[in-house]
Amino acid sequence: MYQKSGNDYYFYGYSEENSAERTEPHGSRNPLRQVCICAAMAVVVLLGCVWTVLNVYSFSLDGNMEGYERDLMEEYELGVENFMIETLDGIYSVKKTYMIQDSVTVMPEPDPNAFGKARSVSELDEVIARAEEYGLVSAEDVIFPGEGISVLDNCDIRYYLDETILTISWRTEIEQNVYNFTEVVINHPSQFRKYITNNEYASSVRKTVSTMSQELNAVVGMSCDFYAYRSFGIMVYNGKVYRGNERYLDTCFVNTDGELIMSHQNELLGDAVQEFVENNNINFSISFGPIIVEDYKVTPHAADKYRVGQPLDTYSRAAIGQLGSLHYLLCSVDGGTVSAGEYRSGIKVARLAKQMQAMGCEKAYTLDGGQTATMTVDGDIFNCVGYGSERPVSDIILFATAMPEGSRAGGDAQ
Amino acid sequence: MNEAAFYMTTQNISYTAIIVAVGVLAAVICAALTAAAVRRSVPAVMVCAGLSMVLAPLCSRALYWYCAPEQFDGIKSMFANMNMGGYCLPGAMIGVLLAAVITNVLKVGDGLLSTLDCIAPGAALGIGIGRLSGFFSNDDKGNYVFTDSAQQKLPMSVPVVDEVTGAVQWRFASFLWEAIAGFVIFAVLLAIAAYCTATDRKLNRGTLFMAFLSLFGAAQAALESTRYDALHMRSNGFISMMQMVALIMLLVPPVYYTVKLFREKRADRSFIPPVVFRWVAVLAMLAGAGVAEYYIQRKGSIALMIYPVQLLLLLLAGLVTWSLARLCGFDSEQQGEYFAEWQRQGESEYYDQDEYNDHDGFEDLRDDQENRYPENYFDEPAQKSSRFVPRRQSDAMWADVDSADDYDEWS
Repeated sequence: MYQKSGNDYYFYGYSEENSAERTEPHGSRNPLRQVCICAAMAVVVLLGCVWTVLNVYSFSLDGNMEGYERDLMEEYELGVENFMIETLDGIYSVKKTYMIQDSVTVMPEPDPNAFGKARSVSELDEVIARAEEYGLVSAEDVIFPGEGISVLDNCDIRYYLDETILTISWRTEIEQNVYNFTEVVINHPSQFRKYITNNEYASSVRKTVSTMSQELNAVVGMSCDFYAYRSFGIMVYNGKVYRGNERYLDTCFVNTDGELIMSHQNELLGDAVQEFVENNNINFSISFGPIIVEDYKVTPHAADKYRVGQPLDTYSRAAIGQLGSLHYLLCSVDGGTVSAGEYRSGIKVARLAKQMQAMGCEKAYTLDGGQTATMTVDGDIFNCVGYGSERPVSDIILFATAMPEGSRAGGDAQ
Repeated sequence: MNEAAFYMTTQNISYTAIIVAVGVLAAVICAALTAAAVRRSVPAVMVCAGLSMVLAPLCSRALYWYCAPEQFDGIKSMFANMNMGGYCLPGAMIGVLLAAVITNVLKVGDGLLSTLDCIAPGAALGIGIGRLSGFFSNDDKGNYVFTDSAQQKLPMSVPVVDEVTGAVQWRFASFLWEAIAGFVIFAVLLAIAAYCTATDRKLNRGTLFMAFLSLFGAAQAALESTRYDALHMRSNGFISMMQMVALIMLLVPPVYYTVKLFREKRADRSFIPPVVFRWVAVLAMLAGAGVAEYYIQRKGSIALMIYPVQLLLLLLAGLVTWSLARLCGFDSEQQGEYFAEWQRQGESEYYDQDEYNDHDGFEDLRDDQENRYPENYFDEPAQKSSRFVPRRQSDAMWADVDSADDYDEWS
């Protein structure tokens, strides 16, 4: 009753009787067979729905509790250790050493009274003196604000001091570029952390640095390498190697003593990464680069072409440097935005390298720059972020206080 | 974390799974009903649905693996352990498309586009329902954080509790808007199908599917931009996978209609300027949406103001595509501008080309009517002529033939 014309079909003498045929011109014209096909497929669909209920985002409780297990022994040992420190305080001349449990992700809340603001360098003298009293750092080791450098007018110097951490953040103008520095001294390596979104490798969630800093109670937070943006570069997190390809990027490892250990591209390939991590007690890695300062010297390839970050162009930049044991310098340079009343285009990596060296860094490493470069103090953005708006990223590095909330002196800073 | 609805021994059944399953079921039922309503092949739709139940999860997982290979121990674990990682909607859509292609290869139904037409409204409904699962998980939430307490309520924002830190943030309710978009697209497609059915017009093949591509592509390209957990291609960290697919979805209909116009009207080039104009308009809208995306990413703080602009530009691109579809004609009475013009020139009566094909023995009718058609009209592929005879007229005519049961009378 129907005839083919090109790819189409027409029914001649359309009536209810032949309506079944017109619905199925290619296949069987047998209504029973059509019903059977439909019934069989309906069963398949129903089975598919059951499978969906059982498997899509549903899971068996067996073998899925790893994430929920608490390391009770570690919690117990740490509790006893902190208790002993408190108890022995004043009895023996034992230096207090608070630490943060490895499995803890949200850091102890910083004491709001320990944050402070100053308008002049001299106002920090008293803070530095108290840090010396706490045994955090000797006054001569503090580099703030840097030789021959003046703090930017109308910008507060922000600091945080308790018995476990000293941070001083300031802004300065050098050769028409605005640099944001934060000097950090911590008491224990466990206060220096990297955090990746959802605390889960390869999570697709992205958040801003300020959001993560607030959620994690960071005293100071800094954008890191935005590892999820690319599929290469070594990725070590909490001592586990997730990605082991260092063909393209220099890597900055941070070990359990809080030391920055630099590794050049092509140095660690394949299984060597795992071996390196085990031998050096690596806690986490940062994969961006390049390495800009080593042994207090600017590295020759700080001015070379590099796989990421376009080092030869002017951009907003970020870097981390080590000044001594548990003593760090964070730096971000404003670019692609108006900062201190003027538009700033940013700097090249080579210029950043020279500045980090000039600040006295023993070693320094470039972090992801551009719009990613963000520095926070007490959860607030401290630098002028590129384009005036933070970029959601996959990771941050942070420094936190290790003081348990019950152990605070209270009101020790203005 | 997906909230558990209930436990079956050691199995945790999540609300998300239940809602997705309901969405799938609704989509299949809707597709079958659509096929019946627009007189297309129901078995073809069911075969396609059956195949989709296998192919959609596989493709969805495969694409998810491509975007986030680090979440899996290897490609085998992607299928061996379905609890690992997640699923990717564009992958599921590719799976359904593959199922439709296989259905066509098996020669079930009356063509690929015909099957896809029936699936389109169901797909929109299923996606709409599936997106509601966002009420029970932390997925599919917006980048934009609402700090103003007046805006901390539905439909603008929902509280998102960070699984690790326990911090609560009021984020844009992307999933809810995606669900609303799905339901609106479903309603629009249903309206098109209902209009054609109610007025007894023959819906051209591909009309519903192309409308779905345009509308869903426009909505998804904009809404995906709001998400804080969008999947990205390995080589591109800025434009999400769904946005890439949405861009393709937005470009397929104009390409399809342009090719169709060129194939059907190769004798007359008068349609080229309006087509070129529409293409320029579509590309301009897409470029505008691209610029909006740039500003969303650069100026996240004002993103909430840019999203509507971006969505508007994308919908305008869809609207221009629709005007391109109208150039082709989208149902049996819609002749398009080309033939409308031809009609205005004095032709008020026309017949289906099939009437002129000699397989039914009406050569004389063809001879009589040949001078009614534009020059070179008969060089065209036969398929285009399916629009030329209003069904009522055709049915009435041929019903007469049947009832008379005397073909000689007509010859």
